[in-house]
Amino acid sequence: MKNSHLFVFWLLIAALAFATPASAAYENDSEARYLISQDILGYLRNADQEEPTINELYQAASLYPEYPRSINDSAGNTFVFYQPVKKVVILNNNAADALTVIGTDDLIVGVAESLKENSLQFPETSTLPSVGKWMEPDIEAILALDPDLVIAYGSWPDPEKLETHLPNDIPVIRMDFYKTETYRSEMEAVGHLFNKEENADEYLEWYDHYFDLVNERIQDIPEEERVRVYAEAGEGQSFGRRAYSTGTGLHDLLVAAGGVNIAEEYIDGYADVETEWIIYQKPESVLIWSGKGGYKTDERDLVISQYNGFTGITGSDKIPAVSEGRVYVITSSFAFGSSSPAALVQVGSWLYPSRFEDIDAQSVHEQYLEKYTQTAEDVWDEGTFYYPDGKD
Amino acid sequence: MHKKTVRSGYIYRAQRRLVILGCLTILLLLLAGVAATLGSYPLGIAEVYRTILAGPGSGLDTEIIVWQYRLPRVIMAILAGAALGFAGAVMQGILRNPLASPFTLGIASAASFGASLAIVLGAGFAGSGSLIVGNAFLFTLIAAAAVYGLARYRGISPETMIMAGIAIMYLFSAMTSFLQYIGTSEDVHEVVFWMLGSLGRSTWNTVIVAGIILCLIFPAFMYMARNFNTLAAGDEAATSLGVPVEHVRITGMAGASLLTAAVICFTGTIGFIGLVAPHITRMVMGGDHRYLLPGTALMGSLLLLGADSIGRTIMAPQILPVGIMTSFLGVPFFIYLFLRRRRDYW
Amino acid sequence: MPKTRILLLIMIALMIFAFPAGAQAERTITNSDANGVITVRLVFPEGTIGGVTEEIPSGYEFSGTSHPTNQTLVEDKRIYFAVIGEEEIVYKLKGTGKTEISGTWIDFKEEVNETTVKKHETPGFGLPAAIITIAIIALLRRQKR
Repeated sequence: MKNSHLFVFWLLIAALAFATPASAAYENDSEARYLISQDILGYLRNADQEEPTINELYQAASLYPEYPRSINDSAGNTFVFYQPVKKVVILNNNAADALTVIGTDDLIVGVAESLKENSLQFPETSTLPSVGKWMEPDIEAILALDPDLVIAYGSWPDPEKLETHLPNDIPVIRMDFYKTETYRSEMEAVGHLFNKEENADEYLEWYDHYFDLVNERIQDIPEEERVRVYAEAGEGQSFGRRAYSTGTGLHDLLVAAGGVNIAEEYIDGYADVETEWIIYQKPESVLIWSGKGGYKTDERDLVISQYNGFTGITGSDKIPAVSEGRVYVITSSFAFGSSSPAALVQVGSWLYPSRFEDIDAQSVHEQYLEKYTQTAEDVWDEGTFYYPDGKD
Repeated sequence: MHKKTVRSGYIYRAQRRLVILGCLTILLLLLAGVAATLGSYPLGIAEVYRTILAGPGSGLDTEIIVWQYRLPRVIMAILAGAALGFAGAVMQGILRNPLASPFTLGIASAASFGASLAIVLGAGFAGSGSLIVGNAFLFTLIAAAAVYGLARYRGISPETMIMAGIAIMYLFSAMTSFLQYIGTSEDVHEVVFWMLGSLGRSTWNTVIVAGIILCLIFPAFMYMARNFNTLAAGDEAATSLGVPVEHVRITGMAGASLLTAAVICFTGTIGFIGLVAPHITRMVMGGDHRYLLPGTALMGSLLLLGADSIGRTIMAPQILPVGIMTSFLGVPFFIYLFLRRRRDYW
Repeated sequence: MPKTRILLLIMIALMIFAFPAGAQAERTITNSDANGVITVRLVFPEGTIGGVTEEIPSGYEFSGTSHPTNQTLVEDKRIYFAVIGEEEIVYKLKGTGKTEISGTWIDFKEEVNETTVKKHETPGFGLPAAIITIAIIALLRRQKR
């Protein structure tokens, strides 16, 4: 073919390429689509409204369809994000835990005081500046860090101490990250918020796997063979012995593991009970909650003293749980939050050892520690997550 | 015509008071007898008494419940109620103030601070209970000494003592709040509950210690009863009648503080008994301290034992803090008596 | 021949650069049909994220659209559309009167604000036409030799 013919030939091909209509530019990403179109319509109607401004819409359009995205927190508030969150302030350990699991802990810029002491669990995050206490945030410190987002518990601190002092462009997300009934949805929400849905889903797969596994193994145990458990708060939490019943985390944990709470028919929530009642009920196993220990390596003695605090009560030898050595202290940093599936397996194997013989609860926990925390390898050995743990 | 002489009137009133004291004692014994049968471990009345008569040490379930849990608690309630009522009557006498109570001199605040200090600075939980007890006791005495030290500058009059007491109370309250602030949330919890007061920590050891202190101080105060009576007439009148006013006041304050300290270091602060019991007793049998003091002790025991028994049975197996129960019981009864009596009893 | 080549290159360049720069929303209005309904067709460049405000002419009222409801807002004399990637919006107006519609649109992605929606010119200088023209010229030149 002559050169000019060749030239025309390629020209026609090029023309075709340009002329081909492109396929639809955006898939039907319904949430982002809905959010941005509402904003656009709102803007068209009234360009003088406060938000969104034209610049915000320019930004939203440039990031579409990744943004906007919206999430609901556990206090029922809805938040819409128009751009990726880059700086987060967290007011408690549980939030840090959740962000570590999905891999966004590098976005944290400020932490609660209590977290700064938790250097085993959060070796890097604990070096960040403090923003006050979980119940008494330091507003100035928060403002100085200029975060895009603050995460706090659902009920603390009071909005009076937090939201009312922060400008509109620093939203406060209320999530607990330790309550069984909301944990899963909170993890999904936070995965969606930070555009880390994959990581959140992967974690939730692990989470569901163990919850389902334990459930399978205990669901066919007949009522009369279920282990009767007494759950309490450990000494120092009240003026007497504080029993945990329906609606508390420890109750949910023991029930999910197949146990029966002796306090269930008598009290709701938690209440102080007479010691003679506990002796009368003769529980087969006792679970004691402890807020100490866990990743705090120098608190092993405190955990052990909780154990002794129960086994040492007058007449404790009358309680089967004590005489058969089935008293356990479980720490809150193990029992609730992202490690809860490992805790569930552990409690299951305490209550029904024969049904969990093939699973080494300790290695489930170690697996969790390696994969989902910032901690170093030997953290299981250094911490005291429950007692007895076979270390002494 | 029957002539009522002053003397026979006096004897009549004295006898009446003795009868009332007797009734109160019987009432108390009855209540104690009932209280021992109350509890969430179901035991029949007969079973309880059989166990009591059988004595301690058998190691059976029933023995442990009755002898290790219920009896110490009941006896502690009696002793604590008596001590608080007693201390309250003495305080009201030496300060000549109807609103005085064992806690007027800041004693409750000091004890709370002592306990808080022990808890927050790592005494840990009730495992190191003796540290909490010791500290609470210590700081109560420190407070009493401080009040004395302050009041001395201006003379030991009721006004100076009350003012000194208020100053001490605020001081220790502020220090307790500060400790709570720097402490962790669990520590704060524990402090709050310690301050609510509880008889649940009663053991035979605590009963014995409290009992000994009460036994020592009670006779000493009875010895000073007449002086308390005279004090009511005013400092000058009392001095002219030969009463060593300052000495009586200081001794009274020291004794009352000691009594209160001995109780609240084990039980935490139980309010109202020290304030209300003397008033109720006064309404029933007048202000003569020779009868008022034992009467108040009995009344205090009745109130506290009653409050505690209701607190642990009304929502069994849940127990309500005894401090809350005493408020619930004391106030309406007090109002009732106040409204009923026309004449000024004070 | 070099001259021809240069001419061709210039025409291609013009086409490539002219096309996107001139990209905007365009409107076509059909004539009123038997029931007094006119159909309005808006076209947009591919991948647009924008918003259109169409003024309804007097004598007419809004009578339906194929655009998603969530992305449409009708008020008295105006229709607002949020365009999220759609290349075409069709809507109908019913009534009588002059069919002159004005409207504005904003392209949020390209950050172009408040331009009017142009009336669509009947197919003029389009790319396919240009290609054919070139092809014809090239063939003619070849034939000349």
